[in-house]
Amino acid sequence: MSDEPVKMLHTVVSLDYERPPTQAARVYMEGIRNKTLVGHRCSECGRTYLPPRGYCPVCVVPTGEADRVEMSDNGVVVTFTVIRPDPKVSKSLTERSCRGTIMLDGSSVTTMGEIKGVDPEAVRTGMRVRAIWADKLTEEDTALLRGGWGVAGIRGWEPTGEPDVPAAEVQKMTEAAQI
Amino acid sequence: MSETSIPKVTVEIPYARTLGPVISRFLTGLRDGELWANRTASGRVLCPPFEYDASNGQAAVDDWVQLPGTGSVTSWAWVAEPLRYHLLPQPFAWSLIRLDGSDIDLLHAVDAGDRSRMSTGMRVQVRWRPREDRIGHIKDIECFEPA
Ligand SMILES: [Zn+2]
Repeated sequence: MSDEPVKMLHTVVSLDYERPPTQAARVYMEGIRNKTLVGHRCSECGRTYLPPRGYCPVCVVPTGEADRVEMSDNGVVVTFTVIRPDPKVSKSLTERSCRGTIMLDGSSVTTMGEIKGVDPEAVRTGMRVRAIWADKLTEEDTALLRGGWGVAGIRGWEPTGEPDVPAAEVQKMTEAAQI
Repeated sequence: MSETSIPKVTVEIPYARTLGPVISRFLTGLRDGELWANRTASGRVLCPPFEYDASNGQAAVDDWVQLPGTGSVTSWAWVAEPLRYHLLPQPFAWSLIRLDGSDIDLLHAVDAGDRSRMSTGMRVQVRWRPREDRIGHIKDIECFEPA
């Protein structure tokens, strides 16, 4: 037991959420179980949402079963960051990795995930990637899905080997998706 | 998990922050089982200690006074169903406590057993956690109890 002066405060902010899944979340979850990405397309502006929210926040109109759209599980890296864990800070992350923002083909929203199967330093904007689906959903996946928190059931994204999308086109895609 | 159950998601954010000289001294005291207040330029005594005097914005002076660990409840709210991270598992009262010798109130839990035993002005005394469980945290005070 130390007699040194106390210099640091360690504290955990913990938030418990309990909320019933919306109809949109249930449809999305069912899709993930079948390794399918089910989103909604706004009937007014054409923007797509994944996971579906049940409304378009831009047009402020509801979206529902009539707006259901199956999204591609292939996409383009529009931005990324290489994570180089600091052993002084991180115990759970030890290896270099890359997290990317991916715009799915035919969509106007991005999703985030780890980019695998390639040296993190070799990842680039415009790289074509596809989803790595989980063989089996974990309890955590299920909890995330039911809460509508992001894209569960996908373990990461890997290069397809197709030619990169030119930078100018990536720029156009991201500009078009701006809200 | 059935399809009709309501999902529970816990989001946890760990923080580590440096304390600075004033709070460091206060929390070091708690770890050692001592309650310390600091004095402002105008002579007010603050427990919990502050880096400044909230009444006039002056910096606190490096002048410390040890308090005995007894005081009076100035305000309270009964918690009938404590949550996971509350200080006590049994019902308790969040209370503002004017420690003897202090000019301001300290927020902490009072373990009175029953709501009917709580009253504004009631006398309370500190209950420390065992020495081996104290780490330099406000939770080193387990709670206050009726004196
Ligand atoms: Zn819209």
